[in-house]
Amino acid sequence: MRRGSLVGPFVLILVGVVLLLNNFKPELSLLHLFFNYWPFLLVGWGAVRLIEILVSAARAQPLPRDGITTGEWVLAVLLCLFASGADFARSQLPKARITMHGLQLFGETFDYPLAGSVEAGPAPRVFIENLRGNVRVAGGEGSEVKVEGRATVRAFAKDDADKVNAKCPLEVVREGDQIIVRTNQERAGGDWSVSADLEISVPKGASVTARGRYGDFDIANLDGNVEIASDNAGVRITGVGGDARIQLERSDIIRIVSLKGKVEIKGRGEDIELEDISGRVTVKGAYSGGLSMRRLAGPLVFESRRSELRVAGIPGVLHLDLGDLTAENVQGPLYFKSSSRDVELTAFTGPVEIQLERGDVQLRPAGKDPQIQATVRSGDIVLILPEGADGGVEATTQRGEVVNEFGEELATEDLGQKGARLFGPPGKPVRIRLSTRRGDITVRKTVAAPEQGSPKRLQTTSV
Amino acid sequence: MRVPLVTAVRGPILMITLGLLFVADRFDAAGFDRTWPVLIIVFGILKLLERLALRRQGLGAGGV
Repeated sequence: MRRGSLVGPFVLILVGVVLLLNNFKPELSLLHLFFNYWPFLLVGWGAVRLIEILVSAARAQPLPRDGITTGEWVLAVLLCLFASGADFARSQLPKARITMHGLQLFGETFDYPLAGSVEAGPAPRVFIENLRGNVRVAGGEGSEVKVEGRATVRAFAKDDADKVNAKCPLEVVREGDQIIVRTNQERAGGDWSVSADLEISVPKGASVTARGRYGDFDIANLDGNVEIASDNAGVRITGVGGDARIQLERSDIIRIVSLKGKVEIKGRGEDIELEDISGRVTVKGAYSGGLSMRRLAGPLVFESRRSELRVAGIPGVLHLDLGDLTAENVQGPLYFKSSSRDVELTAFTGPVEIQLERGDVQLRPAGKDPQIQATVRSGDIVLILPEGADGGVEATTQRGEVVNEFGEELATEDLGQKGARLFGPPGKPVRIRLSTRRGDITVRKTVAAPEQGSPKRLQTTSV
Repeated sequence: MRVPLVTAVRGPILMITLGLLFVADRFDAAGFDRTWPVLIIVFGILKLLERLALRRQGLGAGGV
């Protein structure tokens, strides 16, 4: 008879250790642990099985035909699907939070008004700590920091709620050169659900630093810097004179409009929308929705797991999501590297460099002497040059066709097994280099539409 | 007939490989969408070794 596998007992021990860890160190999230380290379950599972079989073989016992049974494979595939799917959903649905503390799901909510104020001067540094709940900060006339709002406690009985509320008073105090606004929710203890929605008015010259775990931040009309750190938040910033630094573990939206300083965003989330930013913009992390940028006067740097984008300026529009990069009226140097995306750049100036693993590229430069380097492993490239463009072109495909719809200035050459080449005009230094391993390359010409209606619109000649 | 060792360890080795590919994906070394053919290669190698082991066993038994 085959001896029972050791996988079962190991799983029981692992589950026990993890639950014990959860009880002693509640700040370590079980889900977090699982999502980060689940592939090691597969490795461990395979390793235990392997050791069992090697031990059996060493003892000259009969070996099983299937080291891993069909049922176990089904379970492993389900685990992979569940973990990958849940990881995807976690970035898609940042607010779907699952709580391990049952109490938070039951009981009633009790509300308590909050109010406080302190004299602050014209340009104070305001530090806001509100673990759960929404915070709205608005700059205005006057020299005091004034807080109004509402605390919400979830409990079975009002007495309990009163006691919990008494433990977490609102503090609005001056500490050194800082004004501190603190809701002290951590004093309530881990099993109580307490949140506070705050409306804070500050002098217009203020700088704001805010920390939280769950709740949105809405900040408007300040001359100073804004710094936000949270586990899960939506952030809206409007009309700020200083820099913005945002670090979020999860977010549904980060929207910044009209900011004079630098923007630095780190973490994970969905959508980012930036409009009218004067300084440098840096975005690092994983964002499953889209990045929409309009009128960025300074450079943009975006880095994620598998993509990198650097642009010198965006006078027009740029949109980047999981499938596409589209941009109109952007200013080079532009560098974009990605594993899989379609790229469409229209009316751009300055040098452009694109490196793609998979995806189609369409480039429509604004000037007559564009400088372009596009390298694609698998995908088509279409280059639409303005009439009279006179830069040298060198385009090669290893498996595909080259199509010259530009005119006689360019020539094509069939390289047989090595693919095809499109080049010219002769004697011109090569300013445009296009290459794809698998895909077609087309170069065509635009003609300006007549100076009526919309004069800037360009039409493509059809051949 | 006795099951060759290489047949018995095929499942666990594939499971470990699958886990390692997901570890590489999880920690940004290389995406599973690119590395998955490794599974086919590993499976192929194990199959090859299994053939060799079976042939040796067959020869040892004086058959075919």
